[in-house]
Formats: sequence, structure tokens, C-alpha cells
Amino acid sequence: MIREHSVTLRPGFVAFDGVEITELSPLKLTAIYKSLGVEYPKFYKMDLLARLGFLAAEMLMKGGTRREEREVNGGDYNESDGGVILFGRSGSLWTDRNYTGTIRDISAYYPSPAAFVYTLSNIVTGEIAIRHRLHGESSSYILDCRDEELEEMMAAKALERGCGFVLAGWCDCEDADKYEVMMNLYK
Amino acid sequence: MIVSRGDYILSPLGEGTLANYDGVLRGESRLQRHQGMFGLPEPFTGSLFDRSFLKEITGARNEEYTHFESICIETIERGCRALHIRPDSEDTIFIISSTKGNVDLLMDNPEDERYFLGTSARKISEYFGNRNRPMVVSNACISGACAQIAGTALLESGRYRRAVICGADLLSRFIVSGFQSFKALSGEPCKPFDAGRTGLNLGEAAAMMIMERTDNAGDDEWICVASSNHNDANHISGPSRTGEGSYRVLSDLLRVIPADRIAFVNLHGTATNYNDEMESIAMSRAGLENVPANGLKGGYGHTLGAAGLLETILSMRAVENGTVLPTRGFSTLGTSRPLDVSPEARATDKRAFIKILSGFGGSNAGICWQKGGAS
Repeated sequence: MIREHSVTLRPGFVAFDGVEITELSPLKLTAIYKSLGVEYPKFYKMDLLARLGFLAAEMLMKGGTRREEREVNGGDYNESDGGVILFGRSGSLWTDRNYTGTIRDISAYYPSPAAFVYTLSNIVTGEIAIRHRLHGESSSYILDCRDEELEEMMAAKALERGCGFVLAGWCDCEDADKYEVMMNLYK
Repeated sequence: MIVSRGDYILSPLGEGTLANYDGVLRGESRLQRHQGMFGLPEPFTGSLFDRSFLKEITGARNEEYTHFESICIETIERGCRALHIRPDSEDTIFIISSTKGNVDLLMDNPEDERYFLGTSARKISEYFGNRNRPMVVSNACISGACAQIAGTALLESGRYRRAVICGADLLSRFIVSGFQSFKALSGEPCKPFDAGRTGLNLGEAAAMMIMERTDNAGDDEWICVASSNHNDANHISGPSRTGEGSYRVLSDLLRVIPADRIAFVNLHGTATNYNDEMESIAMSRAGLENVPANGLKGGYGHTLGAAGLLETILSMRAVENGTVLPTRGFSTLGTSRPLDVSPEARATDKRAFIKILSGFGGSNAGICWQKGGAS
């Protein structure tokens, strides 16, 4: 198993293949999205966890963070057999909190299906699969802290079971100013 | 190879796997209309644990556990006791399958750490004296199959020899209101694959299974012969119209075991229009129209994180008894492709079955178990 690329996203910090992308680090997620030059309006409907996963997957699949780089380095992947396996601690906490706010008080009760669907920790894997047409394995696991050995083991297992490549790693969002993504592309 | 050493089910239908199996065979159900439950403004039809039972098992332990943790602990404890298995050894991993765990804590105690499923799972594994970090599979409706697949992967890796797998979800205002907002619920007991189906029912259950790695399995042991997971890559809240992910799962399984060795396919069968239609398309594409199929949600409703385990375990008992379990709620086929579904129990002499599930996030998973190693 080879780690082709890696992405790290934290508040105020963006890195690709271990090198900080200083022009992206200070940006908010929507600004990072715009700077990647992607046309995918559905990004704006996603919750924070899905946006984070989306951005990391975008950089990994295109082999970089700058448009010109991505045109040169974009990987030649058979997307049909790609997999996405994410681990986290907080699940869909950010959206769960927001959704709870819409049902807590029966006099102000307005549950919305558009919010409810993001109250599942695996929706981020689904969004990434849709964006890149990944028909391989998609899995979401929750642990009380990160375990890189386990991530690599599950990624290797997915490759062994027929995935051509796997996006795998840690994708955790506790709040708008407290998140951490360390995602890799393995082949 | 990976085998199952045994299991235990706790559900509104009964305590223990056998009580549940007998209940399903007799066509029983605890699905009923609940008005005012969880302070919900709208009624819903679901299968719920008796609240006094939840209170009783939660109060039975000194330390403080939530209802969710208590139902997992109770199920695992009863199962391990019946199977004479000690879950505290170093080579044993706990895998919990749940879609929402303690999400209801956010209502009144938003800072409670047990919202975090990893923390909650640790409370469960530590109750049994197990020191390994537990893993939680939270893959929406397919979690119960994914937990078995993850168990297989962890055991095959050599990192562990035994996995205690427990699937559970309890209903709450959070979960029911969401499904109501989706207009996915049926006001009456659900009718999987039926022409008159109007949606799903939600249900509560907990189910546990012990998986182990072994070099030789006897003829009376359940062997996990194949498993698969594929995404539709189509929509986050609706199944693929072509059944793509589910079809790919079935195709993977059929590469390992031919259709003529399969007693039945236990389908997801939520009784929503789209799910059941999608499954008929996937079955047809995989050439499985004539293999008996069934669905168990007419008895339990959709038990979320427990469903994959609950329905796998009941399917194991069915094969052992030479039976294809009846599909409660079904009378007239209402899918565009043929499916061999029946409201009655049927006989089978085959030793293997397939369990498949599909869910939000476009996810699909399937697993094939076979009794004995006969090839």
C-alpha cells in the first residue's frame, strides 16, 4: 500500500503532502472551496463535516491545491472502484446540536429533512462518493481518539477486497472553530 | 476463517434469540401506535421496549449508565453468560454498531461526554473489564452488517482473535421527528414489498454476536464466507434507481457462493416505496429473482444500528431450522421486478444465506454466512 497524497485541515492551517499551503491556511472553508476553482454548488448545502471531507477529498483526488498543479498532477484513478473510509470522534455533533435546537421546544418545533439527513456521521462519505463517483466501500467509524495504525489497516483491507484506491483517515468536526482532518489517498 | 460462536437478542418481541425466533415464526409483532411518546406532537407506529424494562436494567448497576449503554451491557452480558465466554481477554475487541447512540443527551445535557460514541463504547467495554479501545461503526442503516465486516477485517488482520459485536439503537424525539419530517413513516404496521406499502416503522432492539478467527471450523459452525460494501454514489438520502450499490454487493457475494447454494436472501425491506423497489431491481440484475427472499421489519420495524445483526442472527436460526422466515405484512407483490417473497414460512434444505442492507449516504452492505464448511 502506497500513500500517494495527504491533506491536513485545521482551523488556520492547511497542508498538502506535509507542506503548509500558507495562502489557504488563514481562509474560511468557503474561501478555500472558491480558491480550488471547483464548480459544485451543492457544497453550500452541506454541513461542516461534509464540507471538510469534501475539501480534503478534492485536493487528494486532484493531486494538489492550485488549479495549475491539479491539472498536471491529477491522478489517473478508476473512480468506479474507489473507496472512502473515515474515522472521527464527534460524529455529526455540529449538525446534531443544530437539529436538536429545532425540536427541543415544542412551541418552536420545526424539524427539517434537509438538516436531519446530515445527522448521520457517514453522510460525509456519501458526499465524497457522489462527487467523485466512488462505488467502492464507504465506511464511517467512531473512536475516542485517533488510531493511525487502525486507519491504515482498514484502508489496506479495502484495497485487498477490491478497491483500486481508498481515501482514508481522520475527519472530525466538533465545532466551526474546532475541527481536524488528516486524510490520505492510498493505492 | 471467521466463525460465529453465538449470539443474543433483546427486543420488544422477546428476551433471547430463541424467543425472538419463535415470535417471528409465529408472525408476532409489538408494533403499535404511540401518541405523545417522547413529547412528539405527532403519533407514530413503532416497536418500543417497555420503558419500565429499560429503567429496571439501567437501575440494576451501581455506576451510572444511560439506557443505551444499559441495553448494550445487558445484551452482551446475557449473551456471554449463555455462551460461557469471557469478554475481558486481551485478544478480544468490542465493536458497537449504532446510528445515534446517546444523541438524546443533547436535549438536556449538551456537555455530557457520553454523546461521543467512542466514550460511550468505552464505558460498555470497560464494564466487562476489556482494556482494548472499542470501535464504533456508525454507517447509518447498514451499520449492523458493517460491524460484522469490520469484525472480519480486524480478526483476519491478526490483531485480535475474538470480537464482541453489539448493535443497538433506542428511539428518541430526535430520531422519530427526523423520520417524520422525511415523511418516511407508515401510520400502520409496515408492509415490506407489498403493493399497498406506505412507509417504514421504527423499532428498538439490541443484538450481539461473538465472532472468532479459527483454523478449522466444524460442520455445526457458522462461517462468514463473503462480505461486501459498495456506495451508490448517487444520492445521500435516496437509493439508486438502478440499485447500483446493492447490485454490486450481491455480485461480489455471488462470485464466492453460487445462487443455488443460498437458502434465501434476507433483504433490507424497509417498506418504503423506493427501498423495496430498488432491492427488487438489484435482485433481478443479480439474477436472484427466483431465490427465496424475505424481510423482517414487519415484526420489528427498522431497528437502525441493530438491524443488520438482529436480522443476520434470526436468519441463522432459520437456516438451522430448515426454514425461510415469513415476511410479516406482505400479501401482494408491489415491486416492478419479481421477488420470491411470502407471508408464510417455507422449507429449505440449504445451508447458506445472504443478508443485505442499504441506507442513507448511498451505502449498501451484504454478508453471506454458511452453516458448516461443506463446499
